[in-house]
Amino acid sequence: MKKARNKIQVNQQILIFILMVAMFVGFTALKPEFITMRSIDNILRTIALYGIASMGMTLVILTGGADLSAGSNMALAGVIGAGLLGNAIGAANPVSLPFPVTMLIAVAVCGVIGLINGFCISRLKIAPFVATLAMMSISRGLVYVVADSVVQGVSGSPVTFMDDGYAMLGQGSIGILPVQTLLFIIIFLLLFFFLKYRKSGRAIYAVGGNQEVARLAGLKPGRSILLCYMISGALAGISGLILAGKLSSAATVAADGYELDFITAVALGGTSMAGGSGGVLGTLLGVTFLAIMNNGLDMVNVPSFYQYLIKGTILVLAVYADKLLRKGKD
Amino acid sequence: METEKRKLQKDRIMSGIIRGLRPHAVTLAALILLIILMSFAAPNFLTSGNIIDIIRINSIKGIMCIGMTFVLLTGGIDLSVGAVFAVSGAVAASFIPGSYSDYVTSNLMKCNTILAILIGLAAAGILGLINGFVISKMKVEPFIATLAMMTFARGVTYLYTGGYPINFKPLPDDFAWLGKGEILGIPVPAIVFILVIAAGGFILKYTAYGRSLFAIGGNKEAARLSGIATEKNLCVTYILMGVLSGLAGIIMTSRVASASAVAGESYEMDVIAGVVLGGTLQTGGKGSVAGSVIGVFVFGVIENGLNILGLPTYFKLIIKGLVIILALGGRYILPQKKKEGKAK
Repeated sequence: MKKARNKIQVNQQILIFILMVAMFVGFTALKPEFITMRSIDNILRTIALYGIASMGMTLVILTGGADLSAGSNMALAGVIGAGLLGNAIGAANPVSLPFPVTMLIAVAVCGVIGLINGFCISRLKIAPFVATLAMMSISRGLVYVVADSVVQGVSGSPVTFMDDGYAMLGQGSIGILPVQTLLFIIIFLLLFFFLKYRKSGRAIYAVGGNQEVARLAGLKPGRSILLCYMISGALAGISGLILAGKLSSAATVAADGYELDFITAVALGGTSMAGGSGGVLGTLLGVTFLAIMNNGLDMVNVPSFYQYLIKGTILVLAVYADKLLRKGKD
Repeated sequence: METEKRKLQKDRIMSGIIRGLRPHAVTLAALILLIILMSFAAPNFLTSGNIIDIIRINSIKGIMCIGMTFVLLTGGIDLSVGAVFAVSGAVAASFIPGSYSDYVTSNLMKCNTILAILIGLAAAGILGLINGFVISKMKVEPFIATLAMMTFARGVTYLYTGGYPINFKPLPDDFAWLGKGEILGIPVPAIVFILVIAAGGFILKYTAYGRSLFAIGGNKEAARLSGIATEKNLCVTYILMGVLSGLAGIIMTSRVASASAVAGESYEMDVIAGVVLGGTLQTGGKGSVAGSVIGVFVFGVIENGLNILGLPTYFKLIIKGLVIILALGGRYILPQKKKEGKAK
């Protein structure tokens, strides 16, 4: 049974992979500049920025939930990290901390927000969609509170700053590999092995498959859920810091609606929205697919209006193809 | 004799309303408390102008909430309502005489107002039909299907308007009436809202289709086996949702005398929050129109109160989130006396 399920998943992933390669070849044929160093670098950065948060989203979706607060958490990490540096334009806060400390605090705050999400879902029994929807609202509100306490002037102004550490995180490279991509690879490998070989990683699949059965089998579903939402919050925080570093500015409206892109990436990667099956490898595929598509469509000058249509259609077709493949095997 | 009969009927209606409201006693009490608090904190809260304003604004979201109640009852969700709202507003606006924009589609064809509104509603209905088809026939999860539609419909709006707002010169009187008019002092959007509430409540309570939604949300397979046309009814629900979003979008276009491609962005979140606060379960099978109406107005009063008090609007975001969490999770935070009593 388990073997069969694995086989089906590989099929769907192969489908996405073939589409991706076809797209890559197609864009290169249309625009030879598509495989220049600069373009590849751009794609790698996009993959890392979206990928890190999507990894967290994968864990959450594996438990059968969703984290709609990811986009707001990204913005929150950005304004906290940038704000604590104390050198923003028009800065009004007395705090000024070195880069690593600001980063840690920002990620920790997002982790705590994730923990609260997990608490609302596992203890207060609020549906994941609704709990994280509420948190999305709260977290976005906190973004404004933090930004307004850092920057004097019009409410909701961005925190614009200069810092070598953040510049390195968002714009720097080691050799030819962007720093953020390196970070992404490390996070990906950690989560991949965690999900595959660690007991608490395997437990996530069990909880997502059937919470009651997992509980009766001696697992602690509450603990798995808390862990997943906490990781999702923290990883969204890291993505948010990268975004702030990339732009040297943390906007209050940053990353609005990104959570839906993360969910799209996870769904494209073949992780079931009902939970219990899928994994980070599929999400890597989904994120890469989206990054190539977006960059490619931009390069061949397809108006962004059409990109909306294409994105929506591909999402539905990919999930539908997944259903068909599953049905065919049953 | 006649009067007695009428009185009996009136009593029956009143007791029906009371019975309908009883499960929402807590939310209703919260709403009343909020209104009392606000009227002390902000002296001009209870002026008739402000009350009518609250009703007018929230009627537009409320219309969508009734549709969303249906969708959540089936255990589904519709994330595309904000985008559909924008599509139908733009389509209807482009057909109304007097509308113009810097993009070609808006100036092509004009027809009379009623036909234009119908065309706008039809566009929204078609998007709803696609949602329904993808969900009921292609068996794609509602969350994913409507997420895709949200992106798709937003793209359609951008393509249709070219990203330029559609304005009116001049705004025809009959179209202006829809969003700005009044009948006996009651704003027209509120009258439309009341009609939608009445129709929604009636459908849920007294029609086979309405009753079947509860069954589908409770257990889809069981509903199908007991002879309910689950696929058809699901499809109808999403079409209804689309048409109601479209209606709200058209009323909004009339109210602000402009249609834009970014209209209704993130409305889906507000609408879902209102419905969920009203006690409709996100997992389906339980909920009511009355609850959703109360839910909408709780958020409406909070928003209006914050505006009047001159507090930054982002407090609204934090309060909104806290209200949802406390309303839904509160019973688990408070010590559970009832259960302990039973155990003894």
